[in-house]
Order: sequence, then structure tokens, then C-alpha cells
Amino acid sequence: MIPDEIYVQKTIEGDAEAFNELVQRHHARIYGLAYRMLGNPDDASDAAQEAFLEAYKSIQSFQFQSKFVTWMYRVGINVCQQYKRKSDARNRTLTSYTKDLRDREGQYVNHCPDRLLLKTERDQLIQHAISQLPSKQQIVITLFYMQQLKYREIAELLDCSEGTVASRLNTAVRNLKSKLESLQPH
Amino acid sequence: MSLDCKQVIEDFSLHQDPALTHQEKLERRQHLIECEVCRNEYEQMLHTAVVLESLPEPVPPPGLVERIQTQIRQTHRRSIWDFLANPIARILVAMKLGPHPTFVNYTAMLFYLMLTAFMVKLTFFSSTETPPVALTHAPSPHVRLVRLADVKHGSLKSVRIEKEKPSEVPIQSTPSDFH
Repeated sequence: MIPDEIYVQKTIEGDAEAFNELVQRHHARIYGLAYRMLGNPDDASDAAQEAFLEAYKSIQSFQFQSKFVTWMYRVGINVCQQYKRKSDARNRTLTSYTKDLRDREGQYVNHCPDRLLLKTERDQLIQHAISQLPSKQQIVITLFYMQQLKYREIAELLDCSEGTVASRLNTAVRNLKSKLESLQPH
Repeated sequence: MSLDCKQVIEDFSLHQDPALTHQEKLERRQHLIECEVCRNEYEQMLHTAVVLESLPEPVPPPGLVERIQTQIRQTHRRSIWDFLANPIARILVAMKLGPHPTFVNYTAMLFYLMLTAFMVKLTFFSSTETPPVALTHAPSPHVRLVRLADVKHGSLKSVRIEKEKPSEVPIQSTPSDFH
């Protein structure tokens, strides 16, 4: 298999189709990351699309010192964090009435079979608990447990030490455990 | 919970990574065997971790790849037009100089002003006179020599020098003088 870096080099030289090959290879990972961070398929699709576009525009800044996928994850995380900030700001402006309507609409959407991504109630519960965690904890949980990245790779990606990753992951699991306990139906 | 217990629980995530040495792992395992509180806490955290790992991978919606690829192609085409809009700024960006947007705008204006001036000069102020026949249809070297000799000879015979106004018309000659 041709390494990603060859396609990156071709993209820098002006070959857009080379970048499209990278999209083909990594879109599922970036979508998965966005889904876990944003919590719904529509936002995840938009964020994944925006992340790849952002990566294409700033491909010149890729230094070939890390793997392309690590760099791509970083772009994806930045885009998702921007999305979350925008979403939080939007939610703050909603009145309680419209928020209630939106929640009801959300419930309806989640029950539509064509849009249902999390099949079981348990998965929905976990996803809900993950989306309630602080952003940094969401990121480490997603990267470690769902994207199967190593501590070293996560540390490189987040520009911190492996010890910080371990500690953040530990806190995240503990928080998630207590959230799941409180969310579980009695 | 003693300090040791706290440390064991805080290092929970490290149990799953090869960051800990074999000896450290053994020490923690021994503690978990002996301490029921830590064991319960550890088991619950482990259960959470297992649940997380067992979550299904989200499946991207159909058409997502095509949508991204189409947008990349459109952006690529647009970037070619962007280059034409301001080649100087694009070259500066390619050299990673990161020009200020105002500078980019001014260079674009300057570039197209210069281009317009050049085109105007080329269109309206360039010479339209046809060059002499002798230049457009250069004679062979042999013929040129003969003609030069004729002119030289003719000019020697018929040149008139006017001493009154030497600066204005030092030499007057008519085409007929050369024949």
C-alpha cells in the first residue's frame, strides 16, 4: 500500500485527486471521532467534511514529522471543538420553549429508523454520558478506546506528556462511570 | 482509603498501557487482591472501559466521501482562479511569508494596474510604422556591398557643406544626389 505521505506530497504539488485518496482512507476515523465528540450524525458529517476541507487548505503546513492520520486527527479535533463552541452559543440563545421543542424533535429524530445510528438503548446512554464529559476527556476516551491510539500517539497529537494522557483518561473513565451510574434507569 | 489505595485507583488507566514496569504492575495487582475497596472500584472502572471498547463503530452516512471529494475538487479549481486573481500574493504565501491581507489587496491592485498600463501602451502607443524594405527583405551580402559602394561614391561627389548654420543642418543631401 502506498504510504499516506506520498499522497500528501502529491497534494502539495497540486494534485487534488491524491488528497481524495486520503479522504477515502481516513473518512471513517474522522467521522467516528466527530460522532463521539458531537453526539449526532448530522453534525458529525458536517464536521468531518469541514475537517477534510480545512486539512486540504492547510496541507502546506504538514511538516512530515508525524503521521498524516495523527495530523488529520488534530485538525478534526479543532474543527469539532469549534463546532461545540458554536453549538453551545446557539443553545444559550434558545428560550426554554424552543429548547423544549427541539428536545422533543430530537427524541423523534432518534426514533427514526433511517437516522438511528446507536442501535441499543445502552449505546445511546453511553454516548449521552460521553457527550456530558469535558471536551479534553471526551477526546482521550475517543482516541484511546474507540480509535485504538497508543498513549504516545495521543500525547503527540494533544501536545502533552504521556502521564497527562494517562491521568486525563483515568479521570474520564471515573467520571463516565459515575455518570453512567446516575443515568441508568432504576 | 489510604494513599496507596488512591494511587492504585489513580493509576488505573496505566494498567492498560505498557508504561508501567512489570514490577509496578505486580505491586498494584497484589494491592488489588488484598484491598476490597480498591478491587471494587477497579472492577467498576474496568467494566466502564470494556463497555467503551465494545461500542459499535459509527458508520459514516452513504455519500459522505463523494460529498467531501466533490468539495475538494471545487476548492482546487477555485484555488487556480485565486492564483490568477493575485499571483504575487500567492507566490508569497507559497514561500510561507504569510502576507497581511491588506498587503495582498494592495499587491493585487498594483499588479493589475501595471498589467493594464502595459496593455494600454502595447495597444495605443506602440510604433505602427512599417520598417524599411531593406530591413524586412534583407538583400544578400553581395548585393549589399554593391549598394553601399554606390552610396559612398555618390555622397562623396555631391555633398554640400553649409557653413552658416552648421548646428541645424550640417549636411544636406537629396535622394537624387546618390544617383
